[in-house]
Amino acid sequence: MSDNPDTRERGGPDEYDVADRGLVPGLASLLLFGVLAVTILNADFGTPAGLEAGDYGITHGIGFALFNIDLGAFAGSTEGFLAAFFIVAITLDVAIDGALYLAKRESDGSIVSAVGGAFSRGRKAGEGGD
Amino acid sequence: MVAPEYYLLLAAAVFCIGLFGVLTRRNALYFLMSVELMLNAANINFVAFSSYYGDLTGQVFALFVIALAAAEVAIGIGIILVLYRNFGVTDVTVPREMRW
Repeated sequence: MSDNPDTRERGGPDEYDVADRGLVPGLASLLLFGVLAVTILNADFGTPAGLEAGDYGITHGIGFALFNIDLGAFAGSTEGFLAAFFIVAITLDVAIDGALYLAKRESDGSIVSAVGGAFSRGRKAGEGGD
Repeated sequence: MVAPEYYLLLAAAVFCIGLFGVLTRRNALYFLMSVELMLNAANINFVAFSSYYGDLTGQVFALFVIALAAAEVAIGIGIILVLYRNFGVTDVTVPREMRW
């Protein structure tokens, strides 16, 4: 498989890249895992408390926390996240709108290139487009 | 109760596998999968410490991370689609300019 983008297999597997460039990143990853493992095994995590589910289950508690509902048995172990919930909901809306904007086509089937069109449909820079 | 060390070692292993993927893979789809592995390693830590210390906040945070990961994948897939339409490949090393 060539490194030339014009001759590289489209969307094909990139085992060549892993074999060619994987040694140093692999060693770095293993080294990081070793450092993390040593740190974890030598750490003191204190006394375990455990979750007291009370009258409701843990899933109920998560739901109560998400919507700032009376936390009951979990009152001391978490807080309300209603504002964060709305922010994440808006973020997801923005994300799906962004994905549709990036992926949409015109009714005649042509592609609307959201972030530049010089290379669309095989055209190169200087052969038209913007 | 399972000792937290086991969860943390699992999370560290998943994170390092994700890091290896990010450093080596050129295909944008594999790249996204590797980022997901790294995010889920953080989720394992959140849930493990939430259970260990009896605090639900970690589990709620894990839910938020899952939601943000979904948003990231939605945008990421859109970017990959544009990349493929413009360059004919999903190799993240091919585009070298922000504008083309």
